[in-house]
Amino acid sequence: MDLGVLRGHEGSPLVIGDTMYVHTPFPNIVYALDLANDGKIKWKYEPKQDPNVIPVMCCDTVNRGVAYAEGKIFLHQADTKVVALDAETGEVVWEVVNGDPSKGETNTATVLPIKDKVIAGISGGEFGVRGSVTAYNMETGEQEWRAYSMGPDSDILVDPATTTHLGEPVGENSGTNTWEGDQWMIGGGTTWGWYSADLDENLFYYGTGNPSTWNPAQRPGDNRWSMTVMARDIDTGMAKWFYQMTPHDEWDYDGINEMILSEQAIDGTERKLLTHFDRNGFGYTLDRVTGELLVAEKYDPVVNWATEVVMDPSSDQYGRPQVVAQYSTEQNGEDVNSTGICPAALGSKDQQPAAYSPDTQLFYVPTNHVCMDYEPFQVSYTAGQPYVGATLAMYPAPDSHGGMGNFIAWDNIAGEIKWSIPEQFSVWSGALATAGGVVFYGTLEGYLKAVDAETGEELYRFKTPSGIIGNVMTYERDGEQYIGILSGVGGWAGIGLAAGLTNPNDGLGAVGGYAALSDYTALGGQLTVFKLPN
Amino acid sequence: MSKMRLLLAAGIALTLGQSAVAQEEITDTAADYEEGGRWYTQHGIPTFKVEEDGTVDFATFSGFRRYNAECFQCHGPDGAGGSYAPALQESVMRLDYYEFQDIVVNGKQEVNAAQNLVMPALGQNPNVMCYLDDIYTYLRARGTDTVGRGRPAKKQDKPEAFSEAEDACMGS
Repeated sequence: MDLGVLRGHEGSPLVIGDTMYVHTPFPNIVYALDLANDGKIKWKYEPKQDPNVIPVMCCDTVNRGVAYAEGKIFLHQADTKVVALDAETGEVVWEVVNGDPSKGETNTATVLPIKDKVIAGISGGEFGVRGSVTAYNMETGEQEWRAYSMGPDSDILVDPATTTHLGEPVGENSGTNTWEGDQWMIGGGTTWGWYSADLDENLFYYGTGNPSTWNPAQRPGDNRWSMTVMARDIDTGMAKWFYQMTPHDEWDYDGINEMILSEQAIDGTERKLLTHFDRNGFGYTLDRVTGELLVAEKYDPVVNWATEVVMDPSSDQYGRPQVVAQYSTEQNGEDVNSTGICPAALGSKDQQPAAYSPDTQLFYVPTNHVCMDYEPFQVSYTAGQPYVGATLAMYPAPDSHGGMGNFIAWDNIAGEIKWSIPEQFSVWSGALATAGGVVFYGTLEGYLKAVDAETGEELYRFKTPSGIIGNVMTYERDGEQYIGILSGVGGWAGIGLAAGLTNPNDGLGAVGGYAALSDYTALGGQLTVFKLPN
Repeated sequence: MSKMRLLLAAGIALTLGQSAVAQEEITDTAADYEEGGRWYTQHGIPTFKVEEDGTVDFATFSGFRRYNAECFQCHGPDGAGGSYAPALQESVMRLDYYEFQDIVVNGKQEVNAAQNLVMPALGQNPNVMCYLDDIYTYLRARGTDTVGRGRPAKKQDKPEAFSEAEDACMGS
């Protein structure tokens, strides 16, 4: 099906009963398709949004989909309006505005409907937005609580005595005392990723993004709680524990990637785990009840900005990445070009979610294999204007297979790659693991690929009409299994890779210029559904 | 000597070839004079100056830095364009200096059934406006293929006059 919008198509359709709900990038149309009637359109919702929101969105007008609960479809629009639609009729039940686009506050993410609440995040880290998470009443849309990523204790919803960071109380003013002056007010730490929840613990989990600006010299300190995994109470928003992965970010390694929850045995003991593949190139495994750090290992061998994350709780560096001076854009200073930093700002993985198979106990991870040069410099803040402060040059990881991506299988307890499939372009599609032992992912050239969950051997591929940055999904209907995928190249991948990447450090002798994505695919907006053989 | 003449002849042929398409493309990029740490064409339009050994003038280098901080999120690295917004290395060869300024300052919208192109007004953004001429000359250097993709390997030292103008504009 053609969706009528030619922009980056992230996220995936949603199937509830006999209806499939499909969303588009800006203007964020929602289609309800009747699966019992050959996909006939039951209803279509098209919000009227001010087009001025478009350029305030960093990196394309993507949207990562709708969510469903209690007979309602929830759409979080680009302009930050959260809308509850009647799932049967498409009529608006309630709507509420979560942010102010004139200050650079926008949205690309979906929401988390949980218990009697709808939890929504915000984008705009490149505009000096102060990130927050807000809970709205699922029936009425009324705001119930809001938790900022930085600021006074009453803003960030912590209890200085009981909220912990790596087992220790965070103490008073933890959201302001690692900032200079009022800088926390434009501190970033936006919340545009994916949300998970554990109803037994009454906790939900998410990550916060980079501190604003990209010039680290302009914001001394650890910049808490940017770049942090957060566990908060669903009812009150109160934080139970934090873990800051990248204190004082110097590379734009947003911490917003998905938190995958699993129950697995470690040394014979069943644990409730949270696994997170961060942009900074480390794969983290934590105890999701206590926030204890169990594993932190590189999931791409080229990662070089830090040697390791210290795992010894008695060390004063416990939980901190050990930054390599050569790749520290802070230590090298303003107006100095730090070269050969891996990964690039888009991370060893961006928002595209990994998948977990309880059968193999492996995680299937779409990754970027891209490095960068990074030169920070002075910028000044203007409300609603970009607040960046660094020049980047990105290129495929040197001395590797020449491609810009890998699709890997990861053991989250050993902290090891089990197998790795090299890809010409970054893998920007969410993965899907099925009980049949088959794992699916999409590529930027437009292929939907199926591989063996144990070995990574390719079983099947099909070329869809445009590059894939959406997430593979599956559903069952009348005893048949289907696989659905959105095609439509764009997002960061479409902007950064369209013209190809060049390595400025190759020198004159090397063959300059790498494959341009625009030689392989063009804009699109299609939904392709496959029926699996029995 | 004969080699010199040959080069000169080739240069003339190139100029004639370009003037044939002068209505679509703006080809006058030759640096004529320097003022305040920046080069200008004979018509007083900011332009780049690249030495034979590849050393670029500081303003053009500054344009590389500011472009790849302020513009590349939509327009792709090095003015090369992306799936989201056009390649500015090509646009600046059709837009004159004043049209370029107008679009950056006031923004631009082409919103209709076929597309949703919106460029924001950046006139209030010092990180862009204080470096607008730098970005323009950098993109023109890209458009004429005088400067390649990526970071220019060699650059002129920062002229004193350039620093003074920058500090005055940024208020630092």
